[in-house]
Amino acid sequence: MTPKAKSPARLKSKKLSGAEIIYRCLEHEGVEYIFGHPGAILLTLLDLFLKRSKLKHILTRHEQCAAHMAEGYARASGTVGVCLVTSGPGATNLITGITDAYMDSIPIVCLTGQVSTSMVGNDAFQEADIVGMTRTVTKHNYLIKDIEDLAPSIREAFHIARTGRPGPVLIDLPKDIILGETVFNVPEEVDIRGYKPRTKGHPRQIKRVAEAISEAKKPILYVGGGVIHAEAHKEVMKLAETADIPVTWTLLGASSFPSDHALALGMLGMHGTAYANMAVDECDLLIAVGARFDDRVTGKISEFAQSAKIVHIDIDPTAIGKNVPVDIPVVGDARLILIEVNKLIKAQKRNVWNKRVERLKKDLPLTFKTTEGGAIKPQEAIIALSEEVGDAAIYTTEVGQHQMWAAQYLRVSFPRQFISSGGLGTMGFGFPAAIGASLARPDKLAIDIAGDGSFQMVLQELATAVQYQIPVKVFILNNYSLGMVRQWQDLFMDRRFSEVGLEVGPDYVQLAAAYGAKGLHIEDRKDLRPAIHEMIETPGPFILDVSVDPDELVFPMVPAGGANRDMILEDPRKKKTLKGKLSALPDH
Amino acid sequence: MELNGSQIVIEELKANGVEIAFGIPGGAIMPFYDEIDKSEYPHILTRHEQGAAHMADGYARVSGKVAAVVTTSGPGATNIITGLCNAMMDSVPIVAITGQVALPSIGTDAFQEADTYGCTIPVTKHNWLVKDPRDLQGVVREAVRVATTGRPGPVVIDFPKDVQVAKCEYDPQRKTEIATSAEPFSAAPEPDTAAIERLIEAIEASERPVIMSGSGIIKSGAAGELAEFARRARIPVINTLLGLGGFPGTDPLFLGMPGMHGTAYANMALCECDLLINLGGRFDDRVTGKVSSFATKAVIAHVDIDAAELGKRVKTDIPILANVRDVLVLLSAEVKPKDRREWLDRVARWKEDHPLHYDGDGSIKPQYVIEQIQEVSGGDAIYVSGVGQHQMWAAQFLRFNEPNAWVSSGGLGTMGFGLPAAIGAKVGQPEKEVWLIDGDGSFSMTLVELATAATYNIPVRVAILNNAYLGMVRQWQELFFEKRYSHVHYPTNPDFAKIAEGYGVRGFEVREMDQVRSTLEEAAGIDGPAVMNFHVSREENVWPMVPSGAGNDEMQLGPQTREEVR
Repeated sequence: MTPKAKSPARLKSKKLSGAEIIYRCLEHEGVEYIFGHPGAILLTLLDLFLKRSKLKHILTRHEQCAAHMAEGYARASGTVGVCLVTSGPGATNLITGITDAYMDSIPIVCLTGQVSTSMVGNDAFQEADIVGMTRTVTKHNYLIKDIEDLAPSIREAFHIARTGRPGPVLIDLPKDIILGETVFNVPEEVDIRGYKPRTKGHPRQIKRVAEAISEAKKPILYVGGGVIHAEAHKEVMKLAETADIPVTWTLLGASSFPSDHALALGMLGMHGTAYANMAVDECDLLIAVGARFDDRVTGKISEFAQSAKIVHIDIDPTAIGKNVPVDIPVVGDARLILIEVNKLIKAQKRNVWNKRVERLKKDLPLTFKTTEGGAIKPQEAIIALSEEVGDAAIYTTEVGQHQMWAAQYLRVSFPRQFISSGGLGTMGFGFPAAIGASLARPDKLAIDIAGDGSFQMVLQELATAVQYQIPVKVFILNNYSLGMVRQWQDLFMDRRFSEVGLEVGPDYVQLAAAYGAKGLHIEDRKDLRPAIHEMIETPGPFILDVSVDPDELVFPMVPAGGANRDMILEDPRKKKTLKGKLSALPDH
Repeated sequence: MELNGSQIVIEELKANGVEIAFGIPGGAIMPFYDEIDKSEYPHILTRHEQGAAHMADGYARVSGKVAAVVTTSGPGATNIITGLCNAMMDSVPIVAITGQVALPSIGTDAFQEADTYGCTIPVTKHNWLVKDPRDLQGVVREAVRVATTGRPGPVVIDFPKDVQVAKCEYDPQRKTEIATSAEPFSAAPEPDTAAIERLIEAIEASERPVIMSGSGIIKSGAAGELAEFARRARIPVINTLLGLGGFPGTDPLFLGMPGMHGTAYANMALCECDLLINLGGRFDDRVTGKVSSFATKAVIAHVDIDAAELGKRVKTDIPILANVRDVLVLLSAEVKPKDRREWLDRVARWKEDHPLHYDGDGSIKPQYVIEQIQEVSGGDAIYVSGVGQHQMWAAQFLRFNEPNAWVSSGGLGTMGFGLPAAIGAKVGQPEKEVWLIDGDGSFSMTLVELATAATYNIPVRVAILNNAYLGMVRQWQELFFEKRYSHVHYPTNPDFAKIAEGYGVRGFEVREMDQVRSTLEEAAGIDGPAVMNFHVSREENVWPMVPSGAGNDEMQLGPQTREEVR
């Protein structure tokens, strides 16, 4: 939870510059790091960072990465991430990061410089209509036109970002506002008409949930990023253990429940485990907590959990019933609601159902074939990483095949240990996010599980990692291609590999050295574990470039638009489907 | 015949003169990429979508043609917003085709869904979300037309995945209705004869006229007409940053660039002129300085193809809505030569008294490297820049003698524009040498595109003027913040030559003056890209400078001198 704001009384009634007000507001909100890239409009504000030392400014090499670092910081710490960039290209460079945070409900506050209010609308140098462009990708945004609004707006922005369903908020700061002066006055309480997120669940709905749980024969808990935002992991665990309910999670819900727990089913959906998808297919009660029934989770919606009664616990009333009709909606904070639910339920044992689930797990495990020679399969690389590093690390991922393998094979045990770009699927997210995560959790090692295509989008931030000696490790599963697109072309387009080859990639070891970091390249299984040790034992940033087979595909896979039950289990050429395998299973 | 949506788009791109695409595939654009592959449509695979947009931008600026940018939905689309905004500010045509989730999924926060249409409204000339394959033929035609005619600019076609595969009847000969009114885009309005007459009278009455020309001259292909008119009427010519190359840099009538980092003599001429003829420029704030003290003694004429620009920032006495080339043809035919020796002598004296200069001190001066690039390249190469101090020095010290030879980000001032724009420029004009003059901060932002240059062996010559600072911001901190260098310093700048070599590109480290020339010559001979890292004098400033918010008459020529023009 965010630190309580200190009493602002002593700050009152002295005239301060806009820059000073911004600085103090950030201090007031408990901000520790600011990720940014300067420009002329921000000079007065940046000057304060140099004169004072309380807020630490991290100079990035591209603004996109400032946004992703703020996201990584927010995702790892649970507090609001902050970035600060100049007008025009500085602001437009943030949009991908803002959209990413919006899709995944991540609280960040973006401060953008803007040309003077008198110049707005003139196509002035480095002017861009950032408020217009980000209207659809922010939870809220502001263009400050009167310095009197400055402090209250910043206070509001942080409040909006971190409360309710969290999300990005942007504040556009014209130069004359930054240079202006007024009496500094921060409202202690934020009171926004029309914005009062409901946190307490309705008691009658909670009662209905408890009843449904005790009546259900085959319940499943389906948990998403909301469990992490609400810090409801303990309550999820209590509910699962008390009522003996297996738990599956979304990509963003990963690490909210320990991978190795007996009730854990792993991730569901397009590249989820077959047993999670089958369990959801067979369940009679699906309890969704802080998840939004994303298309990558549900597959063909009309066939998703068709025999189940659906409970949906979410803080955002607009998420309820959006993609899937819901039988028992409960709007509010997941933790508060589950505390109440847990009070009402009794301990239960569901031997028949859990035996069935056990059977599914045993018969439909995640599989891959290791090579006979020394060539490394991406899955075994992740297993080795997970075994060697374990809970000493927080993992971030880029986007693509490696991301799915990481979600499938990493063993994680504490919330915020797995950080990934879900809704927007932003290639280039993982590396800057790892930098932000590393600053948020200096007690853990931040490891970015990367693909070569994703990492190439943002590798310039090696300079940032080296400059501040942030010990982030990049674990590249290098298949010399845009692997996920290539996989679809392999399966659905007769192997016409259109524009996915990245054969001319950089030499990552040399690149790391050019930036003053360490790097290592391996191709043979016998080098894998020693290399991982070298990576984690070497101080500072490190790139481990692992060559893997480009023809390896991610399975299971639900073809786009297909039902989860139709998932392809392994060999692409034979297209072995779950259906075929299931008919051979007993008691189906 | 029956084609799918992707095939129709490719057919129409080809038919409408769009010869190449820059982009990156992804889930929501895969059917279109499959057709790119099947039809062997030329495509350059970039490493970041922002790079693709800047490549198309550079391609358009030097070739006069328009290229396509192809991205997937969500992050692919949001990654090009900076590139679109940059093209919008500088009036450069781009046709962006962005994948979108299938129509039934729109609005569900589907995987990699973003409201590309909504996000790009402020940064495109026009945009479309195509919901029916039968609309595609008309939309692509209209998109190319809107992008390339009138005041050019970027357009976006948001292309849902199901529309990419949906089939419909396609007849290449079919006439399509332009759905939106094409008038404001396509029309090169007939110049108003009364206004032209007033301008001719003003020219003939003027003792101290100045022409200031912007990128409109280059976009309308009017450089020849401008030279003829200016020489005939004996009027000195100033070029804005984007207008450089619109008038020969070696002509005695040439006064260089105006404004914040313009030449002293250009700004003096602006302050003293009695007639200012702005041809295809937009009175940007970096040009005018404080508007109330801009060209206060002058009658102001403004010729622009965009009606919205006339009178927008500066009160105009003679506004003319027209294609600037048509106006120049009329003016050349009508204007009588006039003896302006007194004014031209005065201007010449300013040029002599306040030339652009820099002091040598044994270290590598960035301006010196630029002068050497000009010599080694023979002066008829294409020159590209990033954004910052090096950009201003390049604008000041390079001599442009022809249009479409200078590629620089003006309005948006996008750091990182340089490398991808240079790659695009080389693709657009393969027979020309392409030199990129970049800063270390700017180059760092998009250096990932070295992989693209290496993959396609695109021989761009990259000269990094490395001062290990965000130099322009540092300069402002030196001048206005008592040298408190807050967050502009790169103490751990990478070894750029080594990075280049990591990409399989030739890299050079240059620390000594006597290596400058030989390195440039060696790089010029390489069959492939080359990166030269020049460790230049670190705290060199760009002079002259008009402080932000001040008038051009308050320009500072150097560290100590504040020139009083009046």
